[in-house]
Amino acid sequence: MANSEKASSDISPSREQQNQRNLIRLRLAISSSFGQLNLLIAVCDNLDYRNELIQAYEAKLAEDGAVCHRVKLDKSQPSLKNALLTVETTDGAKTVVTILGADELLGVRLDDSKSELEKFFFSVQWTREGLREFKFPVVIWVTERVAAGLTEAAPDFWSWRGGGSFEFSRPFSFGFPQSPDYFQKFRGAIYNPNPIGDPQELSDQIDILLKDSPNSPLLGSLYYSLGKIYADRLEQGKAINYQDEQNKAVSAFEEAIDRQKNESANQAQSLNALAKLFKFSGRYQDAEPLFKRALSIREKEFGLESIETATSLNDIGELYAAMGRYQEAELLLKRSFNIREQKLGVDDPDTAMSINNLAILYVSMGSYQDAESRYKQVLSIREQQLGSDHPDTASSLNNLATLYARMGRYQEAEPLLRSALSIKEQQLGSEHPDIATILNSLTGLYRTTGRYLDAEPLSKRALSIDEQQLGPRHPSVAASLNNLATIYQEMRRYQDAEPLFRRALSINEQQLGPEHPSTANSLCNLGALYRTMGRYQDAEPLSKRALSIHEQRLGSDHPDTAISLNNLAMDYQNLERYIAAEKLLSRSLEINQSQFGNEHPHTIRMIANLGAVYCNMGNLSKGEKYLNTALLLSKKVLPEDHPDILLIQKSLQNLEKSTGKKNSGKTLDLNSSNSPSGFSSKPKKKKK
Amino acid sequence: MATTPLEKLQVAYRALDLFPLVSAESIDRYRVEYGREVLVRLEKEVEASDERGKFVFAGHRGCGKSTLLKTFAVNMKKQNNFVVFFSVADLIEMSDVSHINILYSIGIILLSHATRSRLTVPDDIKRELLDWIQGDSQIVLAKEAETTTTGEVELDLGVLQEFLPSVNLKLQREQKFREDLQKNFEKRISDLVNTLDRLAATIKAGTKKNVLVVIDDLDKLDLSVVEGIYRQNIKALFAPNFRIVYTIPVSALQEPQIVGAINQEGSGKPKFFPVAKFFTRDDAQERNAVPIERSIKVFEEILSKRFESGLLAPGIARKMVLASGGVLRELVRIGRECCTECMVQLEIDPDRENACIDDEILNIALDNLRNDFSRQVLGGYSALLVQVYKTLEPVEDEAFTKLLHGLLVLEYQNGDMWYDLHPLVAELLRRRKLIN
Repeated sequence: MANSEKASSDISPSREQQNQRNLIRLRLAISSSFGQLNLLIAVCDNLDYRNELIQAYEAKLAEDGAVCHRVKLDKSQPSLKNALLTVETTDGAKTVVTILGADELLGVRLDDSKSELEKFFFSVQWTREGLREFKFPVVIWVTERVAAGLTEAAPDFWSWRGGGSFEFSRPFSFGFPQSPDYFQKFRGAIYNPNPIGDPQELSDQIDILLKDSPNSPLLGSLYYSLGKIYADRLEQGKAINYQDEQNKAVSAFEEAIDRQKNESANQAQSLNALAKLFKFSGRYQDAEPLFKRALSIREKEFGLESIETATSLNDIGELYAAMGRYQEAELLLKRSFNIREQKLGVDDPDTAMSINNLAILYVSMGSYQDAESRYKQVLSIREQQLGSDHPDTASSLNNLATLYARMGRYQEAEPLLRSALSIKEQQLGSEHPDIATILNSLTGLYRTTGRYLDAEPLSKRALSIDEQQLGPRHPSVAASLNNLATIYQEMRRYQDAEPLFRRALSINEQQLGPEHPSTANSLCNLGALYRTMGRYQDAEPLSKRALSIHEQRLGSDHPDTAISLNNLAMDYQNLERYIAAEKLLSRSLEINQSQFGNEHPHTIRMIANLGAVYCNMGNLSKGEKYLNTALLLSKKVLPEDHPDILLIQKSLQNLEKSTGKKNSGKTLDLNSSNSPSGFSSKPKKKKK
Repeated sequence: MATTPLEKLQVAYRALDLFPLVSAESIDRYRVEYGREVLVRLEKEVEASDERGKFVFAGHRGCGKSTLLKTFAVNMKKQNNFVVFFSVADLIEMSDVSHINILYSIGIILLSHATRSRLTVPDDIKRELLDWIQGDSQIVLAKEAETTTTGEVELDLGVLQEFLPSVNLKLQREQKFREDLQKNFEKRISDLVNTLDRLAATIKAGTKKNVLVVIDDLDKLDLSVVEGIYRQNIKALFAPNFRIVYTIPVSALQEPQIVGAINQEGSGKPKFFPVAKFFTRDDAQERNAVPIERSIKVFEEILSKRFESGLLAPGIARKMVLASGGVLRELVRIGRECCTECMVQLEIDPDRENACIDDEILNIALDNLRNDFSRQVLGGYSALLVQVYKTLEPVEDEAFTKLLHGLLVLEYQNGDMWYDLHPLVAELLRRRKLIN
């Protein structure tokens, strides 16, 4: 008793210890009952942790020669007996069966008179006698919700359980797997089927000219073309030796810039092409001055209000958006849009592209309403100009749907994606890379809503299209791999997820370079998987490497850097290094607040994570305040059944339970700018 | 050999082709040494220029530009240049010429010349120029290439007729094609220019010669079109990294913005091919002034190369020359009109002996030609014309460039510079008692 009191007043250090003790208890209970029926109820809400625990006892038991089975309850017939009947046992073998899936049973009645969960309760209540035929220990994993239901609906069964119950808990934390949103540019921009020239043929021509007339002005254009050929090969995944061709592209462009008439339109074109290559390679800092030089030439050559200038403004705007310099990006993209609207009209494809780019920016900034109105505008332009069954119209549908998915408006998202898919399939055939993009959006939606079985085949199809059409080393393939792996991760099929994440990482490392932000995202993803699997020691170095790339390439106040900080903090929290975790989380929260303000889903997650860390450190009132704040904000911003809200509510309940005190309801003062955590209600302007 | 007077007149008539001399044969036979100084200067300047030099060549309609440019092209070819000469009029519908289809035409012409020369043109270049063409407009290049023969590229327009006739036809006749072309390239002019450079490089690498493109007849465009092309898009036209000679109407040089744009981008100021001066400025309106014999002689030679002896009555050639105002094409028109009139006389009076062009015929011919002008003069420009006649200076008026464009007013350059009325126009005003 004294022990348990101590545990509740000082949750953090003992929580893990308690968990470990319970794990040993469970394992001993199992191994003590080989050859006889023993019903063991294990309770854990943290599903990732649950899987970690199962792996842990199964591994240990297997060492002793046990055969471990896992059986999932059949949703259509959620009976424990039926589940156990599927297990094939051999006489004399040490057998243990782990029952999963109780947590996935729906508690609401659909058309049936009983809900899935009620059926399950009913089955255990009245069939316990029939279970005697099974001569092995059974571990039934449930969540607290199910456990509570069992005590009420199947009291007989609950009291009958022989082995006892084993409770496990671990504070939640939000990792941020870097799974990309599949916002789509319009056709051609994403998949450019333009012919790529032969670099060897062109190099030979250059050699001839260099020999005959080394100062020919044509050489400038030839070097530009050579650079373009290599850059296109890189972008389309056709490069044979990535690093080598990247270097060749860079030096060809540099040679072109050197040779072309200073301040000429041609030179601006080369500068822009090199800048784009740098951007593609994640070398944002190198790209910026080149883009700016190209802009200044075009302003002079074609005029401040020319479409050429608008193109440059748009390019820099997109770069700044990638660099997280959102305010600057917004200004430039708006300027570009204004010029295009004036010169080309609002219906021009380039103008529509500008609106689309602004929408993408607003998504990054978390200004979903602004993004929505723009996506809708683009959609209506496309429908009017190109018709409702044009592939570009479908891209617009995809973008709007992806935004809706982010906003938690899942019901609205799905039909849009479905019609986008059918348009693209009709217009482009079923093997076009655009199809893969839509499929990835759709699987993202299914994954978020827990429809893993629907998601998996679509994700596989997307991967196979990308592999077939773009080649196995294309960065899009890495994105598709990542997508499928994330589904497996959430289905807790870690063994399936890991090799996919690894392959994605290796593609990005090889194709984009070890220092590319996308490589960092891959590291984040693999790290998140290891974290979920409880392999904290393996996760930490990955998170660290990702953070260092983000800091170096994107700067210390970029939102992706904030995500990396958050992820590393999660590793530290799991390693019970709370002080370090708190430090990193505070930094990541500060970045997000200054970029997006408080009412951004990521900011809210960070506030919640910080709250959890404070609880773990024993500062319960502070932790509670943060969690209450996170709950308040998330209810304001997110739809009411958003998983984040449920998770925060859950941890507040856990907190109440472990302290035995009612929630004080206190929150942080969001309007005070001098509060210790630097809360302020609006995003601060960037310091730069 | 023409024997009868009628035959002789027919020969002369044909020799007075309004089209410039562009074939080597006709140049040899009919060309007189005219504008040599301008020609030599142009050659020397182009030779001395940067390899990406651009030149703008201006002159009155019909002052002999095309013939001179053709001679220029032949001479430059001898200097080891890969010369591509074409008339924009042969390629594009004149009302729809734009900087984009000019550049595109250069690309198509370079491609056809390169293919004819059996040079291997990288596939992506061909596709950049031809792949955008949709559906039934699709042009098959490979087939055309097979039918071509080896050997030097001929400098005649026949090249165009043989090669890529489909593109040519489309540019001429299909508005949809021109619209698609415009749409496809208007936002990627730099890409188009880069493609032209790569074609030029292919030619240079394969032939060891520098590409020189001469585009004739851009000066035939409407003034408003010229304005759009030269003032707003001069940078694009001057962007290719090889030498190009463009032509421009003399009237466009009255637009300070166009001249400014050209001066800023080009290799020096526009090259001007002046009309012949028959009088000094001081003598311009002196009815009995003695003309500049050297200029008169050249023009007389043009006539003597085309009219068999005896067809022109003594002294009549000089009168025809003076009525031309120094504009070659005007002389040709007068000559033709005289031939026609003379043939009419022969028809009416077949037995007439010694049928030749005399004062009577010349006067009727000039009257016919004057009627062309009278419409414009009546159109309300008479006050302006009177002012030019009295001051010999340009008038600050939009209409002035139109008058220049229409050859009612002529610009006399080279040293002393002034403006004067076309002699036929001056006579028209005189008859209406608007001037003395």
